Amino acid sequence: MKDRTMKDRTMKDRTMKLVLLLACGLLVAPVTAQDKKPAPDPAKRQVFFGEQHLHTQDSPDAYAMGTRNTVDDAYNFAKGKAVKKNTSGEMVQKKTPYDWCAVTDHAEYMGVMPQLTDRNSDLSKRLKDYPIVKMIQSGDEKQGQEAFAQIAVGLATLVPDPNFNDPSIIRSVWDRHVEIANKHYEPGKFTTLIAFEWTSIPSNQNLHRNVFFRDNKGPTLPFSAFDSDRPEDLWVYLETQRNMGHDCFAITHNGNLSNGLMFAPRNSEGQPIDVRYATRRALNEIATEIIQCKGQSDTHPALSPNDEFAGFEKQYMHLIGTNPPVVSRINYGYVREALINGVGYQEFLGVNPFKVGIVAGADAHTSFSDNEEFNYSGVHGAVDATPTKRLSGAGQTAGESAVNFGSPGATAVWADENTREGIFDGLKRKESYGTSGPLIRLRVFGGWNYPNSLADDKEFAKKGYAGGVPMGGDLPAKPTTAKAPTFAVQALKDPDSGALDRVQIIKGWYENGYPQEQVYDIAWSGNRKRDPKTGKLPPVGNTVNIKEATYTNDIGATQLSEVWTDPDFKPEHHAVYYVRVLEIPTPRWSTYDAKSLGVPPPEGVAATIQERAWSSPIWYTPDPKLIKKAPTYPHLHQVFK
Amino acid sequence: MWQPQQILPQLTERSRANSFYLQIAQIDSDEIIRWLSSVLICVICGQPFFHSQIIEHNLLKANPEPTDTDSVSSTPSSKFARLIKEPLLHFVLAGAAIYALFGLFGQSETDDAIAEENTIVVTEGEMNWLAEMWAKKWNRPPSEAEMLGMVRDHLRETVLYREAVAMGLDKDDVIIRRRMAQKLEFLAEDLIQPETPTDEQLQAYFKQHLDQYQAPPLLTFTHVFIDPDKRGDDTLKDAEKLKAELIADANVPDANDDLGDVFMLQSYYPERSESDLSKLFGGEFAKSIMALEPKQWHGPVLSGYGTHLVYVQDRLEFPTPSYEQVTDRVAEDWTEAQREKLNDEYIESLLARYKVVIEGEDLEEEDANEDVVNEAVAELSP
Repeated sequence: MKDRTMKDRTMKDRTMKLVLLLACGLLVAPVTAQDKKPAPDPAKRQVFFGEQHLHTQDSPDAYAMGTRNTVDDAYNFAKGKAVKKNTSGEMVQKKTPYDWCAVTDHAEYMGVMPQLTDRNSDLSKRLKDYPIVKMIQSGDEKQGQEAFAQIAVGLATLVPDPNFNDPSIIRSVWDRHVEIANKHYEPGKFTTLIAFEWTSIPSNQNLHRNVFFRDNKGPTLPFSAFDSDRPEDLWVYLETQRNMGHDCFAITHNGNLSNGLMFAPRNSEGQPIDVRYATRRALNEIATEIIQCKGQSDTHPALSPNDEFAGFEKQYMHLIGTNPPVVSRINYGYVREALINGVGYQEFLGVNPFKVGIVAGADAHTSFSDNEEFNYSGVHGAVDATPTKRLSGAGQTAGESAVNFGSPGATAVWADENTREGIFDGLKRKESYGTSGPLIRLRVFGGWNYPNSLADDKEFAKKGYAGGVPMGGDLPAKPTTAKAPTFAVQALKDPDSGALDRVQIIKGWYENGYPQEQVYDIAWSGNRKRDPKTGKLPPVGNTVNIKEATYTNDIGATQLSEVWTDPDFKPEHHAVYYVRVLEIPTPRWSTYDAKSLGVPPPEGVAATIQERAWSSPIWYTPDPKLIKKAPTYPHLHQVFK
Repeated sequence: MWQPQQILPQLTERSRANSFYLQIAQIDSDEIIRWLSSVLICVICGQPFFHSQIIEHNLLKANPEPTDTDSVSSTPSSKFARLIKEPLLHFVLAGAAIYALFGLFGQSETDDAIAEENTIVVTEGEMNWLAEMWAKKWNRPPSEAEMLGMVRDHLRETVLYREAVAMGLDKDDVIIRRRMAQKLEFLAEDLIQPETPTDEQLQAYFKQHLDQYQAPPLLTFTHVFIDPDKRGDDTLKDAEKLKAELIADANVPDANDDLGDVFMLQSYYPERSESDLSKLFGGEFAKSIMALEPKQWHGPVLSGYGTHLVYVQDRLEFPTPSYEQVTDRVAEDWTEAQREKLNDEYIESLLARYKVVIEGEDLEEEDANEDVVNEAVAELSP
């Protein structure tokens, strides 16, 4: 019955849409016919580096940490201008500017704090006798902190103070955000995206999502966790916005701090997910952050015991705001596991809920997208604004010591042009990848018959697109003659960072209803040979002088290029493939700080790190005819019961 | 000895009297009567006399002096009512009364003054405040025992604070110094509001900062990558050899040419600025090729990737924009610059009241000393 009404409704919707489309078509047809341009050549796509996760003083937590830098500052810094960081008084500037940037302030109480401190704002005048406002305006630090603490309780418990969560205030702040984003948008040169963060964190379990819009107008109001903290309700908002003509999607982040909720096969009510959930999730949540300042979410050594590079930037592990700190559950919190489970759920349910592209971000609460390791200036306002504060252990945010935070990651998007449409569509196509900060260039294609010579072919991109799909795509149907899929990968170092150690392909698949994973080294620098016994490639070496915080690119490669054929391919297994590129070891930001203070690097974190890039995956779905016998799913039956 | 005329020449007689409040500890007993009468006059006339308002006057130095008629024309009674409620006023009057008493009765009343100094008064307002804070936190009013506990804590804090101040522990405390400085900085920032610029001011600013509005030159070039990973020690030799061949060949490379070793970036880039190029090749490479002579081969040029030969097809320079084309941007930049200037002037005006002495062995020469001081002053300016 329910299904029936749903169906009727969709039928009705479709008819309406068709009528509207026809009407529009009649009106605009003569114009579009003239303006119609040929589809751009994908081989001409360029990679654009940028930021998709950043907070300014308009986020209440950033404000409470002392950040007074603005949305304008955020865009100016991303563009490469020098900006004064209010918490340290320093001028900060990127060495290499970004091509695009989205500011994602928390939707909850967005822009309220600066208004409360400003005695001349309308909000302040209206609420001048309200105790919290009086406390903030008293000028007394303790009272101010107490006021912010009370506001934070409202945020954490999602019981908003109606005085602050007033639609007219949110509306005016939001309009200003849209206006500033539009002001800084220079098509072809620098792109801004209209965006916000939906901050759902039930019982300290991080379910945050950032929401992005394609157009210049955006929604009338952002959707906040005060409206609902269930992702399913956020999807209703997104679906409604799209129906109203504002194309949009969400990007999840910090599965590593979700206490195993982010990629669990359970909906918000704790029920097993179904086809409808999986379909809506895949449609609305097109990507996930693989790294940001609060740790990486690729995988955990406990999940990937055979991956020798799994222990990267994993020291941030506690649920946000827990005291005493609670370690986040590992299962269902990490991206690799989700990608592999996704293909299993695809096999079992018919739909993959975790078909996500890969991005990375800052999540800095300073207005500054600080991806350059050698240029890191802290991510949490006054808490970690100076090397002394960062290394002393005194600087803590949400119970985590400043030294455990990583420097921000960067997102790269392959796009036809550096415009809102270009960047948005690139992300939506999942033709994106994330890095731990360096601007590594990475191109990946999957197909069935790339020749080995493609690796050194000057028409790599043209032939790559012609013979298969780029990262983020589905392998075309397997030709009967093909034995196994081939992947063509090209990687180029960041001119201002370490040389490349190796390129790896990470394969995940389902076998007899159980998840499996394998990491393959496919290209590497120098003349290293695999160990004949273990099959492992020797380490690239280490040129870092820890005391001086320097390194040389005497080891490693400028670019690595390879065509790789899956040696263990079984056509009946669902599979997912993604690429990881590792740099040679370089100093971690804490080592640069230690050098500037003349002290040894802090204990508990690595002195040198191998920065890296992770591509969006390419998926393989078998033709049902290739599956010889009905598989059994003991594990999945257990998951879904 | 503190000399108002020297330090605050811009202050009116009225507000100079106010600054006595700031300097209350150093006040001369002779001047108390003058000061008290000034305060009374201020109260009666509804004139500003708090220290934030002094700062306002101070800051307005660079701006047109506010006309006194502005404040006079507002109803004196409402101002009076507001002032009467102001706790600062109570404090000032209480302070004045103490000093007046001290002045009148001299040494004989020292004991009374000491007794006054050693009294801790927990006012009804403070009690209410404590109760309110409690209620906010626990969603209920405090019990009598809890109230007592809070008052005890409050007394503890107050007595420790007073003793600490008496012992001079607030001196040279980094946190207290910073906090106080910050309070004044915030206050000043709130009060600094640049005037609306005139067209002449904007035009002048535009002329002074032409380079900010000048579009950067654009380079169209072809580069040939020589891969050091592949060629090892022969890289530079190979580069020179290839360069000689290209020069001998005399062909002008175009968008369709793809020379040199396999490289992930394009070999031809039309119309790119230095900033575009730094994103692709790193800053050093971008800087060095922007200066190259067009229509010939250059190199080897080094980048973060390796070795390149470069041919510049064209260098596009842009005419200087007219003021009309960029008026909005100029107005924005002017306002920002003006705000910074007023901030700097404020700090400088404060610093001007002090003689700065920086001690150090290396700084004995007068000139060196001056340099360091100037540098420090420049750094202090926001």
